[in-house]
Amino acid sequence: MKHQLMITWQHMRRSPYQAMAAIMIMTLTMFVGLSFLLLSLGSSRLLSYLEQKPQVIAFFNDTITSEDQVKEVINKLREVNNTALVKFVSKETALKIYQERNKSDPLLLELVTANTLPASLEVSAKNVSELPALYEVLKGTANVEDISYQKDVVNTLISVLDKIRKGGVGLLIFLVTTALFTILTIIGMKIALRKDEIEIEKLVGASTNYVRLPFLLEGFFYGLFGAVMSWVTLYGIILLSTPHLTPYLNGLSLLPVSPVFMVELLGGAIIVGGFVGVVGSFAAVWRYLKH
Amino acid sequence: MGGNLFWTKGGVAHGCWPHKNCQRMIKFDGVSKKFPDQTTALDNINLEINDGEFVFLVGASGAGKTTILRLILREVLPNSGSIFVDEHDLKKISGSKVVQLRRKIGCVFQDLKLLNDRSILENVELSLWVLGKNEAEVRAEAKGKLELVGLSKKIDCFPAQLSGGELQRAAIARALAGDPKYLLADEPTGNVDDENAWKIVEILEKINDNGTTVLMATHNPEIVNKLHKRVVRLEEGKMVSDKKGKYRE
Repeated sequence: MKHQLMITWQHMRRSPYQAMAAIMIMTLTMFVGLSFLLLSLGSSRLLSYLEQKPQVIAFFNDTITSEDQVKEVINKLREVNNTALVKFVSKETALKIYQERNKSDPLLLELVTANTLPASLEVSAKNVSELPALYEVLKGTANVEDISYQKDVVNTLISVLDKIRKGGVGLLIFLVTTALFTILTIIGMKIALRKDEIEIEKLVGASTNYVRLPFLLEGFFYGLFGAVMSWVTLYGIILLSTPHLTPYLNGLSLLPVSPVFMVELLGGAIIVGGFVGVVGSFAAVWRYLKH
Repeated sequence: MGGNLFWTKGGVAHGCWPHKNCQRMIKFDGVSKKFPDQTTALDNINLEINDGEFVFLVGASGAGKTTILRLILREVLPNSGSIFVDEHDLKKISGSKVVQLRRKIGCVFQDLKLLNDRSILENVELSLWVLGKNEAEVRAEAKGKLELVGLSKKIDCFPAQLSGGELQRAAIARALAGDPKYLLADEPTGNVDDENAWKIVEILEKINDNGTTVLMATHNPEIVNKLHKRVVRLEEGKMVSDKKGKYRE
């Protein structure tokens, strides 16, 4: 095996441009694959986050004075959908939330009092399709001044993410196919270049596996290097952009990415990259070393 | 001739051979070979070569000497007839058995088949790596074989840096790597001067004395006459004589 690894290294060293081409296409493929995977995981988390947030918020006007009036509204909502989650946020609670969010800005804190903020009722449904009926109940309530309804935001996000995922899968299929053909061509060229050596090896008693193994290992190493390089690039980008992106992810725990998760991602990338490399080189070996 | 001596299963001969009293190691039984352009390379060859023999295959160019060697190495298959090497029926053996067969045979090819981008030592080592030996064993044995053929001072030279005679000896060293039971030499003295030719013959004789069966294709009468070994003469693919003695008798 040690000797086979040495032969593989010689194969790669003696044709560095071909090796670079193979590694670069694998890096690009793995980079796109990992990027779309992270985007998909991140967007799933974003969606869950948004779905957990109140989807309809009814802001009361100042005419609402007693708890009974609020309970009446809640009961009306329960009649329509008894699984809906309803939470009353009083003016005082709203102020506390505001103060917590803006504790670093004394100027903003000074300007706002409990009277400035409206009391509200936060309503979530298990399913987005249940929201319109709840919305209609709130709309028909006399004391409600304004309603924030996120149905469209969530639906648009679902639609956009679905398109991104489909586009990503399509692009990934195209890139994996390109990587496979590139490795097949490069390994095929190397087999052709080493035709004499392979012929001699066979005549002196080399087994088929002995002849094939260095080419299969070469494909694996292209995948391995591609996976590691793409992972390093992606992790570098994530680490560099984390301080700039975190303020925009208000309350959403996406960044910083867990190092353990990134190590798992590297492991997965090596397995997938190595597999693609071996499949490409196996196709070349099967095609050009049949006899 | 002798076809009833064998029965085969899975490409391995049974029956009389192998047997402790039965020394035939290579047997051609009615072998004919035609190439795709319909040239008849061999026509009904019946030949038996025993353990430890030194056999000259002689004849003009195109007589079929190289084809016999290629058939033994199972580089090509016969159109008719059977070939047995040890327990192997070459027409029926599987790929893994071909590997086993070739590990028993060392071959000095007519075109030498040395790799120009490897040193002489690396060329010899090639035959040993395929046997699965470790680095120390490979290095020691390759150096030993190069010493045997008188090239110990040239181990790091590349083929382009060697003379014709030295190249032939390097090819012999590679063929001997792994201590094969059989040595096939295809015109090993064909492109060298007399002095080098005799050096090569001396090496082959020494190898034969150590128990290796040697089958040498040549059209050098002087060498054949001097050694006085078994001579198989081929003419246009037919075996016209098989006796101990001289190039032409």
